[in-house]
Formats: sequence, structure tokens, C-alpha cells
Amino acid sequence: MELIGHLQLGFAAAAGAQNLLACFTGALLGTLIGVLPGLGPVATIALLLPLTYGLPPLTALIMLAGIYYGAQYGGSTTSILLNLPGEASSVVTCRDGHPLAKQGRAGTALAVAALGSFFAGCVGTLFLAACAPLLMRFALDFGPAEYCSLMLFGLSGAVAIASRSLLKSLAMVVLGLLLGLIGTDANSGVARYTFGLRELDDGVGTTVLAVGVFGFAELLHGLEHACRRTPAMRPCGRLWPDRADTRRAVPAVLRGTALGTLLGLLPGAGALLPAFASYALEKACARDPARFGQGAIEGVAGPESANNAAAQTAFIPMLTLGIPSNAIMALMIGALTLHDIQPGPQVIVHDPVLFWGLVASMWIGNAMLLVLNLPLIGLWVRLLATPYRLLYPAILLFCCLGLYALANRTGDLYLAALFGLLGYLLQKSGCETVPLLLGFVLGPLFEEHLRRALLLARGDASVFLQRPLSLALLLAALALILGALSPTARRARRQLATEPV
Amino acid sequence: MFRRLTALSMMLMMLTTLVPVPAGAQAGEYPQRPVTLIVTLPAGGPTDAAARTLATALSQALGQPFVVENRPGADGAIGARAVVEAAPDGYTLLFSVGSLVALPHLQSPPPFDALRDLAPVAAIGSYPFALFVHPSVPAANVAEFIEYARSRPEPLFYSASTPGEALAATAFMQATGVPLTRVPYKGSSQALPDLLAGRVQLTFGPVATGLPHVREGLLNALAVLTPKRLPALPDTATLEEAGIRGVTVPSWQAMLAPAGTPPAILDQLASATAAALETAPVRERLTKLLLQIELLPPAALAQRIEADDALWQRHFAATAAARQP
Repeated sequence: MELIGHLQLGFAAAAGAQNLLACFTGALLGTLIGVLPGLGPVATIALLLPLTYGLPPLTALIMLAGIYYGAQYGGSTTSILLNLPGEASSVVTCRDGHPLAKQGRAGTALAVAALGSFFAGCVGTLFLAACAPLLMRFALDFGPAEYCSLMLFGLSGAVAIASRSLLKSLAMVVLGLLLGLIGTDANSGVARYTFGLRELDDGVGTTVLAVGVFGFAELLHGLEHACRRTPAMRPCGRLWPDRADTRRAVPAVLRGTALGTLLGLLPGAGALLPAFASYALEKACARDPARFGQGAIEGVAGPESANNAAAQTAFIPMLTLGIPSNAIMALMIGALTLHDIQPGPQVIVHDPVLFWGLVASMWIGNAMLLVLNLPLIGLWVRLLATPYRLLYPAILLFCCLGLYALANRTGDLYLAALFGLLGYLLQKSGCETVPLLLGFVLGPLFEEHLRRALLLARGDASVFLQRPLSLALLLAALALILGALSPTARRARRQLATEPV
Repeated sequence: MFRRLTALSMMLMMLTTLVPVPAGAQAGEYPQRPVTLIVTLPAGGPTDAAARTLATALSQALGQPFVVENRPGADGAIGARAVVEAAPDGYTLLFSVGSLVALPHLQSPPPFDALRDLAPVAAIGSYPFALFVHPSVPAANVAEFIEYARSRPEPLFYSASTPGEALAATAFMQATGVPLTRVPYKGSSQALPDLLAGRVQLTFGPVATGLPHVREGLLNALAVLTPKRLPALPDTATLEEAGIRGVTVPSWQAMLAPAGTPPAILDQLASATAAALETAPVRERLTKLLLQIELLPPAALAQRIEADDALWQRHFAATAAARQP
């Protein structure tokens, strides 16, 4: 009952004209930058931060939050239509979303993504409202040993989702790991693989790699086929999923939401991990995993729900403990600090209007996004009718703008161009680039937590087996590997390998 | 289309003539065009906030926009290099923090010479640091803490996410003889969960990060690393009160210029900064950020940088010696 009272307080605060406007502006802006590849929420929020100094704290926070979860919605659009992920977290959506678009079912894929995101957003918000303080204990109990095992689980999954060659997939993960090692080692302070370039001291940016390997490479790939009409040009088809799609998508949305809600709680797990973990889960649950990568609706529904649920629950560590779980949350803490609010456990108690107002605004924002996105689907698809000579330079321009805005460095643009070439060559040689990105993101986290866990255990490696959560994750990783090696999975891959791409 | 653009630019030009030109912006005087203030940390953090506060005040005082440009990376070396290599004409300035002086000792080859390549303009103050411990450490003050740490069979863990935090911990170990084990982190946001869960027992961290958790009883502040007690933590003694000297984190926030910038411009910037620090809005905003306002004019800042340089040199020599078998 206390919850209802709190929510009433929140809705009363969030439903004010100024806050509604902020919510709408944020959500719309978020959708737009989510759609534009390369231009991500981090750069946008960083640019807009000074503008929010003049706003009341709740209004500022509502707008910034809107940009953040709006981007999770928008990111799927270009993934599905153009095979260009608008956000790093929607990389996974490309795998099945784009094949669906090629089959002329872009409308269904986009609608499922939007509906799944909406459901996940609502559940994530409810979770945030109902048990934020309780959930914090879970997040705090998750120590370096657990993180290390979680990353190992993720890395095994990256190999296991291979739809064609296991060996190529493994090679891609390892290449990703190696790229992830570039930069200053936190333990010794030594710069690794930087070739004396100071720009590489902090490593390669995830956005730089993602825009290069996915965005630029796809543009190169598209240019090659530009003379032919692309399959995505087919009519977008019906919007609402038919019965067969619904039967497949609903459980995927539920599983994705649950997974995203939990993983979103963990500081540092990022937005890619929930989406990708959900994809791996769907593939493991499916009766015929061979459909994945060929346009399985579950492969869109699960990850999209997971990343949106995670986007909502990522606020829990920030609001209850003042721990930012990603770069965006760090910026929000910056915004709050400027308004003399120290994010921490006391925010809920001392500033209930702020906390519950934000929670309520997320609900309103998610509903707005759904209303905004469903009619927009037709528009986005029509956008594809733009001739490539106009569309491609425009995408290229936005990619470059976004990349430059990250750190005001031109070097990042050259690096992304280089990765574009690499991605193109990999695509040509039949290597999937999703495992590459996963290895790149998860590998350094794995190393960091492995070393930290061993340091804190004073060198006792059995710590990974003694902690129950860590042990469970290690066993799950083992199961993933064994599953991928099983004769059934092998047969499915062989069958696919003989089919034309 | 073209006609519309011309009309738009006409309107813009008319608008610009409407903006009042403040006094002191006559021809021949500095500044005649916008000034870039390069910040070596990402947007949204405390240093960025301090820099933007100063930039706004200077824009008003000197009649030209001071534009903040965040150039993070390599612990600040990338932004600092950009300023060192810029023309020394007063139109590219640096806003950075105390750990900048550590970089030439940390990175090889040294990215710049902290004493020669940069001309100090003014420091506006510093972010205070404190010794925070997890409540599982049964100590209400520094003396009890030292006793507890000594009685343990294994050294306690401390988290360090910046060179400054490690510097303070090393100095503390040297001053007290208490052994501690360092757990390195890439940022305080990563260190905080382990500290709040008690996997790491202590840190010499920024007050702004630890304070909310102290208020909730999730952390204890045993001592502040400042010369005087802090208004935000009135009951917490300074380390010097506990009899421990020389444990500091050089955390000044200052504006610097490329070496060779005309002294007249440096003086103008320094006096404008000093004047800005006297105004109520600037003081209020900086205080909100928990910044301890303390103006250091060019000469004093130069002295501070020299002293810090010696401090870092000793620190890195000591840690290098400790690593030798």
C-alpha cells in the first residue's frame, strides 16, 4: 500500500506540464539519436548537460532519462532495416532483425521490438519502484569473482551462438579479446599494444569499434550491391505479428525482460550483455536453433526486451547507491550533483518526489515511446526509399558527428574507418562480427575482475568455486560449450554452411 | 532554398548586433574572439563542472565566450598536449587537476614538462579527500584504525582509482608503518561497490563520493586529508590532528596556459579569475560542488606545481624501489 502512495506522489510530480514536456522531448530526442547510427545517448547527454543547469532537478533528470531509454527503442530501427545498429546494444538485433526485413517482414519485426520494449520497460520500472532497496543487496553481493564468472559465461555464449562455423566464431571472440586489451592496464599502469600512440592509452572506444565494424562495413557492403535493389526495399508488410509470431515472441519477451531486469542491476555489465545473453538464451530454448540468424522473431523480441528492461533497472544502483552502472548514469550523477543532490541511499528517503517522480515519468515515457514509435514505423521504412546516393552520405555524416562528439578526437574517425575495412573483409570471408564485439566488450572486464578476485582472495583460485553464484555461472558456461559441441548443433551448423549466404 | 538561407543569415546577423557588447571589448585588446578552455576530464564530472562555472564567469567579465572543450584521455595527457602544442596567444587554455603534474613521471616518454611547458594562470581551489573505512572495521578514529590494522594477520585492502589516491595511501603507510594492500580500479564508480560490500576495507577518496554513504552509515569517515576540518564533516578530525603529517592528495583545480603566452594576458586572466571567485554566484556554485575555494595566483600556483612535482618524484621512486625484489 505504501507503494501506491509513493506512486501517487510520483505521478503527481511527473504529470506537471513542464515535466511531461521534458519527458516527451527526451523520449523523442532519444528515439532520434537511437535511430542515427554513431550518435549515441552518451554524447547527446554530455552535450545537453549544460542546458539542464537551469531546469529544476526532477525535470532535468526526466529529460536525460528519456533520452537514455528512448535511444534503446530507436536503436533497433536501423538494425532491422539497414543492418546498421543505431546503438551498441542493438547489435544483436541485427542478426535476426535484418533477415526478417529482407523477407519483407520489417513491419512485424519493428512492431515486436517496440511492443517488447514497452512491456520490458513497464516491468523494469515496476521492479525499480517495488524493490529498489532490496535489489541493491543482490547487486552488492555480486563481487569480482561473480563478475569474472559472468563474463566467462558471456564469452562462452559468444562462441556458442555461432550459426555457421564454430572455429570462425572462436577466432572472432579471440580477435575481440585482443582488441579489448589495447590501452593502459589498470593494475600495473603499463600501456599495452598502443604503439606509442597516446590516443590509444584508454583503449579503443566501443562506439568506435561498433560504428566501424557494423556501420561503415555495412555501408561498404551496401555500395557493392547498390546497383541492385536491396531486399529491404520490399514493402514493410503487415505491422501486427500473426498468431505464429505471437506464440514465439511472447515467451521470448518474458524471458528477455526477466534477464534484462536482473543484469541491468549489475554495475558495469553494460547494455550489450543483457541483449546478448537473452539472444543466447532464446537460441538455447528454441526447438530448432537453426532458424536463428535467418530471421527468427524471438531473436528480435528477446534482446530488445532485455536491453530496455536493463535500461530501466540500471537506475537502481545509481539512485540507491550513487554507483553509475554505465557512462550515462555517471553523467546523470553529474547532473544531480550540480543541483546539490548527492545520489545515494538517502535520495529515496530525503527526496521522495525526485525518486518517485522519475519512476513515474519512466512509465509515462515508455507509453509515449510506444505511441510515438508504432506510427513512425511506416515512416522509417519509407525513409529507405531515399536513394542511396543521399542516404549513405547522410548516415556517414551522422556516424562521424557522433564519433567526434565522443571525445573531440579526429583520431577516432580514422580508427573507425580502419575497423570498417576490417569488418568488410571479415564479412567477405564469412566471419560474424557480433562475437568480435562481445569479445571486445567482455574480455577486458573478464581480465579486470579475474585479477581483482584473485588479489582479494590473496591468490586462492578456488574462490570461483566456493561462491555459489559464481559456481552456477561457471556451470552454465560449461553447459553452453557442451551444447554447442553436441551432435545436433553440429548438424544444424553444417546444414547452414552448405546453404548460400 | 538559397534565398531562404540568405534570409536566415540576415536575421542571424541582425540578432548578433542586438547582443550588448560589454565594456573592455574594444579593438586591440584581449580577448577579441572566443577562447577555448580545454578540460582534461569528461563532461559531467566535478572538474568539468568547476571549469564550466569559471568559463561562464570569465565570458561575462571579458566579453568573449569561453568555450569548454572536453578532451579526456590518457589521464589528462591528451588534453594537456593539445594545449602545450597550441599557439601561446591566450585563446587556448587548459583547465586541469593536481594529478596533471604526476603524468610526466607516470608515462614514458613524458607527454610534457609540467614545469616548463605550461604557464600557471590561477588555481581556484581543490576537492577535499578523506579516509573512509567500511563499518566492519572496528575503529572510531585513526589511532584505533592503526591499532586494528596492525593486529590483523593479513594487510587490509584499500581501493585506489587515481594516482592521487595511491599517493595518499603510500604516504600513510610510510608515516604509520601500517601495511596495506592496494586494489587498483579504473574509476571510483567501480571501486565503490567493493568498498560498500566490505570486500575492500578502506580508501583515501574524494569527500564528494564518500559523503552520501557516510550519512547513511554505510561508510565511516575517520579523517580528512585537509589542513582544516570540513564544514561538511565537522566531527571528523584531520590527519594532522591525529598526529600524521604529509598525507595529502594534490587535487587543485587550476587554469594554465601554453608556455610563452604574453604576461599581460596571463595577468588579465588571473585577475579576472580572482574577481570571479569573489562573486556570490560563483562561490555558491563551487561550494555546492564541495569544492574548497582557495585562490592561488600565478606565482603561488607555480610554487605549488614545483612542490607537487618533487612529491610525485619521491612517491614514484619509493613505489619503484618497493617493487624491486
